[in-house]
Amino acid sequence: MNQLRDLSTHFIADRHNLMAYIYALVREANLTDDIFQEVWLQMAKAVEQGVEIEKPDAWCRGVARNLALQHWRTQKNERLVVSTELVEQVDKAFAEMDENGDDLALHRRAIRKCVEELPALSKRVLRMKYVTGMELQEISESIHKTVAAVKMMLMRIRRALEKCARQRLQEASS
Amino acid sequence: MTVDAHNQERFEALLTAWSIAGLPIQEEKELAQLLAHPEHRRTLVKFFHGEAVVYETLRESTAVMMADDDECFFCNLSEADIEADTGTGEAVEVVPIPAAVQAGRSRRSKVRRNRRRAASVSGRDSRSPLVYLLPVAAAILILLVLAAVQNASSSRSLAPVVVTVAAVDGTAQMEMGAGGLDPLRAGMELSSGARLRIGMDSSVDLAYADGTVVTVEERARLVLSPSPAAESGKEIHLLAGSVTAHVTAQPSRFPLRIRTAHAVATVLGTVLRVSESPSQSRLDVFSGQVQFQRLRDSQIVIVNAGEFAVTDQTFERMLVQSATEAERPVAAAPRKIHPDLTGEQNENTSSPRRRPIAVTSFSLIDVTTGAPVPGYESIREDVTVSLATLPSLEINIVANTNPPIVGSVSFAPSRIRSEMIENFRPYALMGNMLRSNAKDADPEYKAWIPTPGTYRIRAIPYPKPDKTGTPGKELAVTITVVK
Repeated sequence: MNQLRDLSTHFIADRHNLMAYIYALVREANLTDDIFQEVWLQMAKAVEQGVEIEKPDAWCRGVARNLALQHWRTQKNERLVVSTELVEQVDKAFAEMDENGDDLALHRRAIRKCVEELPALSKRVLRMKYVTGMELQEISESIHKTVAAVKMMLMRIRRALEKCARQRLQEASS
Repeated sequence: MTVDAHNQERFEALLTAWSIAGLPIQEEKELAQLLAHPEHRRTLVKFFHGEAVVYETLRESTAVMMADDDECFFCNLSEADIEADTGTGEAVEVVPIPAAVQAGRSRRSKVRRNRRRAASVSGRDSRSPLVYLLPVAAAILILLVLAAVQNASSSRSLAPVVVTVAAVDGTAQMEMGAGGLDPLRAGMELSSGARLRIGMDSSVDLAYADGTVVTVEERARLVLSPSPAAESGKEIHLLAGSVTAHVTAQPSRFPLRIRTAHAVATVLGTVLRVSESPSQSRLDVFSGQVQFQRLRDSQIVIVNAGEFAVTDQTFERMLVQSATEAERPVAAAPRKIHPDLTGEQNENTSSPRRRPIAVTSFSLIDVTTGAPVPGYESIREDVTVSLATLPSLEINIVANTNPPIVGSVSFAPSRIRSEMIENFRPYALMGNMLRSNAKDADPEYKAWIPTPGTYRIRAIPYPKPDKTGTPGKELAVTITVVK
């Protein structure tokens, strides 16, 4: 029971990293949420069955990866499936982060602040994509723009957020 | 080893495009190659941390709006969203703070002011702030620990119980705040404001005190009576997925309400199913009568037994159609209530019965008349079509399903067009415009002008709109067009 409590505490503390990893695999917010919860359930089940989890971060990523693959197989959603090389590189990137222990908390805080400062339409479009899970086509119909324009808009917003976060971090450090 | 600016720019562009809409195989490979550089791998992790934060921030702001609005969360959401476009995405705009949060802040600052004043009067100002900050911090910590323990064990008993979990099939959780999740178990009592998430291939039966049973289907998310005002009746905010409700006769002043992003169903006693997808809501009524109101324009329709209604932004008026017995989706039968609640044995805890769905045939449609082309009404295997014998060169291809109405049909990409998803019958490869004159809606088909060649057509049925749910039996045929 103590192991589950400790692992759950670690799970919650490391949730940003796991969420980011799952999102990188599936690139769909609601599905990320589902898989994230499923990982915790599987972890609880494993602990109940007496499985010793030595490296919880890597273990959770492994389970998340399997769940994503399982989802792709059942849904046959070609859009979300990515090449094996890319998945391997994503795995490697997150595993390196475990070892190097880069502090991403400041970056996350900066992004959060920048999201809050976005103009209304940008926020609305982001909400459609991230919270409601709408396809580009549906967003384009909703805001009366072409799919290409919506895609460009989302890319611009996303780049602007990164730029804003970088500026904030630079200002904070100087 | 450093990355040159050009490489970095290209990498970031590919990464952003991949995240938003996916990439063609060639560019995906290029992205994988660029990721061989450790600097790029670090950028990728940072980027996706950012993506997760964007989602988290937006979801939280949506939840704040929900908690702040007793009357209509979704109406408010769209009203708040309909604001002027400020353009580039880089201008700064302060988010309006919800009134409740504002009130909380002013209360807190007032408490702080009073505390400072009291400290000043008692002469404690001369001491180090740590002297009284430490006990306060310790007290807060103890309170937080107590709150967490309370939350995990019995916080639900503090608020009035709204509903009891009658049965759980598979995995389902209740959000506990601060990222915590509590698995749902039969017999658990849930209060107003409880947020539930149902896992893949799972379902949960919720039982109200009056005998009403709501079956929440797989991958659904909902909030129970989020506003205190709603406690007089029963209210469910369905955020995603489907629920089937077997509703006992309700007092007219306190009906059951099921809200979605697009509509609200008001029920006085019936069997119904409400499904929510990003683009539309659908209500199927199996018995009784339900008032269905579209939130966008407050349009109201009465849906009788054997009918279904859909909200869709492309229709001026809401669409209500009759469904024959064969066309109706099967209402999930509620399981027997947990023995602890009724004293009965729990005889049926299996998943709700679901009718298998399939694409059974294709029909060639003459777009000029809207009727099937004679001889091509039911194509089940490869076929050759002669252009010379067609009554018109403007045709469409319709997938026929069993049952005749399913959640959606997806046509795989073909030489004719890219992927096509149809949420409404007829499920046409080139699409169609349903005339929105209520019950007698006739489709106006869009045309495909065939040229000689071979075309592979593959259609996959889904139980839910927008290609969601477990896919049914697909059908693929090759149509060879000759002169």
